[in-house]
Amino acid sequence: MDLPLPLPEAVPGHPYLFLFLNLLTFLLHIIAMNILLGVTAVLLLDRKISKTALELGMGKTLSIAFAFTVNMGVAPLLFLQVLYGHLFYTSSILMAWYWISLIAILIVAYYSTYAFASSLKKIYLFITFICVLWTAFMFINNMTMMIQPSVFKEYFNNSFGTILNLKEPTLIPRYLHMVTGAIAVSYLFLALLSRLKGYSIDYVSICLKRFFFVSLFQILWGTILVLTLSSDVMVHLLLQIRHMIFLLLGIVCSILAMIYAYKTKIWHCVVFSALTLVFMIITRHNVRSLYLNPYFDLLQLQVSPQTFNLILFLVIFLVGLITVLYLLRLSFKKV
Amino acid sequence: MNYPIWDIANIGGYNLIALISILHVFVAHFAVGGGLFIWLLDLKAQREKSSELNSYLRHHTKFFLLLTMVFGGLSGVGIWFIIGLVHPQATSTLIHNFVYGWAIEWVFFIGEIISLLVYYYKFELLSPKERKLTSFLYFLFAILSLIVVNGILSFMLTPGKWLETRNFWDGILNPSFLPSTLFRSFFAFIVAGVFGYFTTITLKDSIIRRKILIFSSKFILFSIPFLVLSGLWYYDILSDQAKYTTFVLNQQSHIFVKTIFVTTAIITILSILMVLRFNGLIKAVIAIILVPISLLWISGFEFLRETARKPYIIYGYMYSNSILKNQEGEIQGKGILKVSKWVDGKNVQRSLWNSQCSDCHTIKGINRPIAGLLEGTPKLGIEAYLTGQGEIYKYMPRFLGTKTELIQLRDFIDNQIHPQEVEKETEASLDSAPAIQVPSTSTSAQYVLFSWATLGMHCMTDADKFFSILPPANTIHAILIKRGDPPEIVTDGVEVSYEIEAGFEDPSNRLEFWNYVKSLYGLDLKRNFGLAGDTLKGVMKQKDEIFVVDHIPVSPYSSDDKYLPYPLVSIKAIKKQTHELLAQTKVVAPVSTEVGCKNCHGGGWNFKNKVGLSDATATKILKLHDKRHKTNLLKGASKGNPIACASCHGDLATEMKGIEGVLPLSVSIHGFHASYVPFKDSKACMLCHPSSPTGATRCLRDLHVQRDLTCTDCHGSMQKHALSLLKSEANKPKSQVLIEAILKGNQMNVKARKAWIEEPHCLQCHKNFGSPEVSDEIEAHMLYREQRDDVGIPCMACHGPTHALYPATNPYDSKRDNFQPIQYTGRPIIIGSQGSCYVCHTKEPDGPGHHPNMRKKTESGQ
Repeated sequence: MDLPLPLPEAVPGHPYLFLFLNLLTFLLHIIAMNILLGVTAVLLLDRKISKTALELGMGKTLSIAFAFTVNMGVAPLLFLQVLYGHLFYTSSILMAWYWISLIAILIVAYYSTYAFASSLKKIYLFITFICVLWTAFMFINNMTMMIQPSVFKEYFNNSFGTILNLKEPTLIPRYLHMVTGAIAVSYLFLALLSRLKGYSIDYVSICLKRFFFVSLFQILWGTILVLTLSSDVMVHLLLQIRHMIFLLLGIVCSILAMIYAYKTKIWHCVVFSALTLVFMIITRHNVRSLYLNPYFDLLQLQVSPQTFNLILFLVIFLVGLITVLYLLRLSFKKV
Repeated sequence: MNYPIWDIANIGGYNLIALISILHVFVAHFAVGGGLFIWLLDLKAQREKSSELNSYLRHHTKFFLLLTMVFGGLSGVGIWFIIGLVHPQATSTLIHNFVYGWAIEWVFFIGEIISLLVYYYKFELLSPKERKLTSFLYFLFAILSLIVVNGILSFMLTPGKWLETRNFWDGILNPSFLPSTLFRSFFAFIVAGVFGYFTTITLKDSIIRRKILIFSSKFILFSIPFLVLSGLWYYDILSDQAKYTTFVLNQQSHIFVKTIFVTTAIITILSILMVLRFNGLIKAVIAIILVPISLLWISGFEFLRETARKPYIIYGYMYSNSILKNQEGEIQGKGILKVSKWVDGKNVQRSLWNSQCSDCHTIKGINRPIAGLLEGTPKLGIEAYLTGQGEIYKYMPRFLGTKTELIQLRDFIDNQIHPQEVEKETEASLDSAPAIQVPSTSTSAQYVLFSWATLGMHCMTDADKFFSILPPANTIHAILIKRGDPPEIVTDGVEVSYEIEAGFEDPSNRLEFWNYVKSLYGLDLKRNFGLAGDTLKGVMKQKDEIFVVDHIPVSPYSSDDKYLPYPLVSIKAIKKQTHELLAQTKVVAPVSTEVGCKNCHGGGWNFKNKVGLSDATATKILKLHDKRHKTNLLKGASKGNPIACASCHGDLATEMKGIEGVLPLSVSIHGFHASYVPFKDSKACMLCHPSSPTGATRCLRDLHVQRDLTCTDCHGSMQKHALSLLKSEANKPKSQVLIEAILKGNQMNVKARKAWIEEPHCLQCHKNFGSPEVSDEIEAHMLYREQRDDVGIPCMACHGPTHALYPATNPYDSKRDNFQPIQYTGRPIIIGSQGSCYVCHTKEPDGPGHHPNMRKKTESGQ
């Protein structure tokens, strides 16, 4: 294909190492982001749940969730650039103004969470909600453009950084699948929190029922998403065992999570929801690989190993993790 | 090249990076210094068991959290975003080499967030020990974060051994890593103190407020000396090339240096004031204004750091336009378009602009807009800028690409800046010169008089209101020969006088020279008198058997408003005692104001659209000189005090000494322009000198032109010419800079020579005065114009002056430059050739006489 694809640079470790780090940290980011977006939506739209949610400390939690969403977003973005930078920078440039304006939008959203924490005024919730929804939409535009290099030649019609991937059939299903997922996860989060704080089983049950109900929509959007994939990708995803297995496991776990939610078995629900996220993130990566198949494969990357630095990073990560766990323990003791 | 360019029109990606980065760095440094501030203040609060200090700590930490966590954190992400958009190639290189560094920094970032959140939200619940530990951990994570990020950032300025080894640790532990980390750390402590002041504004307790002000002042005042010392170390670590380019060549750095010095002084003074006892309102105002002043400090520093790195984004590895240094050869061969992935076939010119220029320039707008920088610069000037780009002023990269691509880029820039103008170069119309009658001198005449102007063309600046390269100053020589066997040179008892052609007696009618000669040359001159005290009519002085008159102020403008660059001067020799006329003749006093600076600098001509350095051009030149060399020439000229160029650039032509260490004028002007002029043949000369065959002067009018020889056949190309002059001043550092710029990495074997007193010589080609063999060597010899033959006759007496050797072809009248040959032989020939020895000899001489081979027939039988 005669596309102006930038050349990828050599990577300082096996591509699958960075892929693992990318997917792991993306999982953490998704959890934090789901809580941020989902809880904001719940507080804004679900009057029945929101009062108790505020009692659970959700007013303050939003800003903390924001901090973790940003921090946990930095890492997958870093590893994404290592593996797919040559594609990611290109797609970002095509939508440059939208992309860079996210910083200002996120600053507004973040400050709104603090404003809400001190005033509990819904307007701040609304601002946060709209900003985060917009941000998610922009991210999905970028990520879908990145995996479809055929869109890159649009640059020659518009080099001003105002291209979006609106013609992409998977865009809206992917977006709605993610948004509904965030709301579902946040109900689960509220259920878990209220369980841990000893709230009534009714409240836990209501949250889990909400989780179940929203998850139905998520499955609907997920199904539409699969159907709107390009035919090549859909065929490989559904028929190649190494791809299909993760999708299947994800679907099975999500159904199990829903069943356990309906039965108010919260811990089972949490475990299977976590597994659903894991398998769906892997599936998301598989879809990415399939879209990129004609253009690029991770194993094409040249490796220039920095083994010592990897070990150093892991050691520092471990030390950091221990320190952080100590601080969190300290924090949870002081209630 | 590898990535598409985001067209940000009039803003420029550089400015977006600057905006986001500077704001982030300001807050991020506060995050680091503020961590130390909070930790130490917490220790103090616990030591003093002060609930008021605890209360302040809570208040300050809330502000700290809101500013650093939200704005600081997200603006940091913002830097990532913007550098990926504006400079993806460099970002990719940094990520792929230093990803583990960033991964480690991410761990520290998590530690910062959690420790700060725990410290803030659990402040009252933590034990004193736990508080101390938590705040210390925050500071530790913050400073570790600074250290790692600065390792990567400082690498961009001084990659050190990484350039050879590509080793991660060589990159991080680079030469400027330690000094810059210390420098930033001390600034971090200073800005922590500044914000310490800021958060006391709303404190009602004046005792606590004073405690915090003193505490904050200690932070600042303790750090400033170390800031200065580490700053000096940071400066010292830069390579000599980076120092010279940044602080000498690049004038942009000066405002940033001044900003740093001034704001450091203000911060110091105001911090001292904050510990003195006076009005709280004033202190509140100081606390507020110190915030933007500190922001100004960091802005000045970050802009200076970016400036110091030019022309690279990663020093010595990748240029600001993403081109790798080791790709230069490939691109010069193949062209940039062949190696770029994002060439818009419908708009190739814009793709060239994007790939070479858009990283640092907008066309209009706010990022060093070239519409402003190149305002009024014609196409040729743009081409010259592109040709010489990055050779002398190394803070820019070279233009990389083929000549065709350079021309395409030139045309693009020209169309963008001057969309309406279409330059049309037309042949200059020549004003009609008065007809001349050449008398015939009888072969029985007793005396014969020869005369010549010492320069075949004297160029004068005629921009005296602004500056003077050369004043009106023609020098005429004459020799009186008594015919005989042998003929003899006569000087005793003879007076030789001269008089300019009618219509040229009053040059001050048009030239402004006498209004400014005192300022230019330090002389009080009467109008129409020249630098040596002679006017346009008078008696010549005798010197070494010839008669001379020096520096008479001949002008090319006649009283009837014509441009005639070849006025005739009547020369008469009389017996002193009897006033008997012995001989007379006429000689051209060639003078031109066709000084072609406007060809590149714009501004147009100032006389009939064909000659004359206009005010606009002269102003442009002085502005550029002031900008490049920190002079005040334009201001001086506007106050009526212009100076001669040679007053600094000492010059043998005007016999001015100049300033010690400054290159002589000819060396400087040729040496500088040689790397810009886009021609290697005589078209280069025509840009400045009046030798264009379609111009109003056409000064190269001698027999060599008829044999298709041009300036460069004798003087060498502009580049060789400049190199030979520069080599004669090789001991001056500026010479080396200019030599390197001209050579562009090539070799060129050129011998040194001094301007005005050493020139290429006829004998280089006419070996032993014989038929010419073309030579590439440009050697320095005694000047032709000072040379005499074997019997003491100046060569020019018979052969004519330089650039108008007989038979000459004067564009105005063929007889003007051949006046004496026609007068004495009836033909425009070399006097004494073709059997015309009779001009001086009453008997046919034996032997060559004046020089070897003079009686040998040439190819044409002459």
